[in-house]
Amino acid sequence: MVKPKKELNFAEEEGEFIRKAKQGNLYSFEILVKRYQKNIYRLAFRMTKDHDSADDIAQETFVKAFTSISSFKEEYKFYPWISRICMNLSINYLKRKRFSITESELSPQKLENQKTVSDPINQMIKDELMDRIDSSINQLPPPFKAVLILKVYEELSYEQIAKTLKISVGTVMSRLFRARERLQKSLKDYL
Amino acid sequence: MICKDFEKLIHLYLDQKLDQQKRKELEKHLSECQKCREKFETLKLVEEKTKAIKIPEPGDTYWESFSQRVRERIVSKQKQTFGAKIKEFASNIFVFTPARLRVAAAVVSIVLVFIVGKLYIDYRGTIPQRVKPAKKEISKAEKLETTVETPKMEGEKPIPPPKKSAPLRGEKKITESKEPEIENKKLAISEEAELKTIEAGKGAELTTKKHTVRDIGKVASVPEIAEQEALKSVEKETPKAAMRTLADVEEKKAKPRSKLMCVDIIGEGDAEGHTVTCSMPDGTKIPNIDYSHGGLSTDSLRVIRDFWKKFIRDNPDDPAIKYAYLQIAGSYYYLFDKTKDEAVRIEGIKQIEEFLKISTEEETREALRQRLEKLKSLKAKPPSKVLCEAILFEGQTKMTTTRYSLPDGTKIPDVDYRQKELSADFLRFIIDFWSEFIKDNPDDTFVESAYLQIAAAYYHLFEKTKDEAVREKGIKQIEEFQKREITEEKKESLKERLEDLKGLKEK
Repeated sequence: MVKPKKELNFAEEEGEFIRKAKQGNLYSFEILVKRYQKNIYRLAFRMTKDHDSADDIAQETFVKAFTSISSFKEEYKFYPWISRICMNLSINYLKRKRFSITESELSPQKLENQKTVSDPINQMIKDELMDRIDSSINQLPPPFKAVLILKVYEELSYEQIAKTLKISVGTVMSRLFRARERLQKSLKDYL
Repeated sequence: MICKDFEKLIHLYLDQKLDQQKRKELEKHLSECQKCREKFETLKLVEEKTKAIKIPEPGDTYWESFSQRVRERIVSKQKQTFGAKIKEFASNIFVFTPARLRVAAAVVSIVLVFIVGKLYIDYRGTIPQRVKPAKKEISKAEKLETTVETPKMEGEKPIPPPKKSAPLRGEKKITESKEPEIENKKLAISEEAELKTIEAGKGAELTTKKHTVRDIGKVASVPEIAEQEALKSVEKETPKAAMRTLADVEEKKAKPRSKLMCVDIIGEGDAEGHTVTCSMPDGTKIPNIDYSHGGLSTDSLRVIRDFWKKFIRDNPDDPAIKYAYLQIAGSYYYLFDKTKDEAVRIEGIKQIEEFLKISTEEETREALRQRLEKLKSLKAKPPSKVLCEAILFEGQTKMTTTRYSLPDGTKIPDVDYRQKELSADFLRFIIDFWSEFIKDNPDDTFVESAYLQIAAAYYHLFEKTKDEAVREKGIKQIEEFQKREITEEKKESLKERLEDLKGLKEK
């Protein structure tokens, strides 16, 4: 008599895919990619505000996840793990980008062109205040921005953010409060 | 509690982290304090608006192909990793440490000995036939070999001088195996000798391949007298014994064969554009190397330098030494120009100064002085642009070589510290380097960038070490930079860094 196959729940199923991926099974890993691709892309986009960079970071997140999946401990959840990879990549990207802008001799004209490039995003934000907040978030230092995004959009607790970014809860709170203060300050003239 | 304390409660309230009691306290305060109420309202509004910000979603086509693209990237990365491993292995092989150079030199020598030995065997296969004939014919044929110079061998592949022992082996072998045929080939050889253009004088211009091979075959040069003596004894003894005697004479002669080395030098560089402008007392032409054409590798320059150093050691009384001085000075100059290795510059200066002490000829001294001045003018301070670019941009090319060095000879790694996870040591190195740079080049236009570099390095160093002392030092340093005269843009960047660093305060 054929034993009926036990139906796996979401977590068990995920565990199974991870185990197979650890053995080098790329197809199993692809299922995980499909499961989380949107979340990771959104996270990257929130950080970078640029489709190409977000796409690149999202892909790289999964590539990194696959190449280092052997270090993933199965008692943990997969999504927080990959979101940490994504956030680290995004932070590094932003630091690089910021540095290169301050260092390179970008002419005002070039900066103007950059604004035009991000216009499609801005067009989506109808609310003027939201537009202002959005650009203020963009100007936050990457570590501050990361905390804010994880708190506001991922709705993570202080502890979860601390785990994701490998910082202390105190640092999470301090960064979050400072980020908010900065946003408020940048809207001072507006409100 | 004062308003400042309530500010923190406002944040906690927004994050729903306040217990009932604190919540009531806050609400009570907000109803009494207008300033805090306004702040609360603003923060709440900002929070709500932030949450409401939507982002554009890529279309279905994008999502359908996403996992496929990830898969392709993984596969390509796996291939790259394999390739990189091979590359790394290969690059490690070609890292020229002194020990490796010695091994490489040994291997090359063995190969050369083999090649020259082979050539010698091929050539000397006919020698015994020349050894035995009548006195006059032998002398003529051998003299041709020993005195004909091929100073200019354009298009010839340079062949460095082989080991002294090579001909000995070749000779032994040939003598033993070819002995019975000697008589039969005697005439052929003497005819060949007759047919050649014999120019025993200096600067003979023979460019046929045959002569080149003969020259190489002789390797360690034997002065004419010594050779003639050897040949005399050859006439008396059996061919086998005669060869041994000749080899012994050759072995005793250890002086470098300048002619061959000159050819070697030409070959190292660009075969074109070299003119032979001066010759040594024995008639050997010294190539006038065009160092500046850029074709000479650092290795070639080192070969040239070491060759002439050896020449000076072996021929301390040779009048051609003055050329050696200039050649060495030139090679040091261009070697430094290429490597930017301060150790090379210092060594070069020291060396030229030594030459100036012993050199007597005014013309040479003047040329040496000029070289010295040039080398000194390259200054001990780091050439800012080059060094900065090395640090800023080299890493992006993913190169792993070290091409630039600090005044003390410290190599600057070709890494882009913005892209990679860098060690605390490297970040400290960056701080020290730029601090020194500012000290040495206070008027350099790159100084402002150096401020930013230091500020960035402090930021990353603190993030890595979580050392409060680093943070404090960084803050102090940035604040000090802010006081200096810098552009508004850089001032703003420094301000941001300062705020970042201040915001990183750990418990």
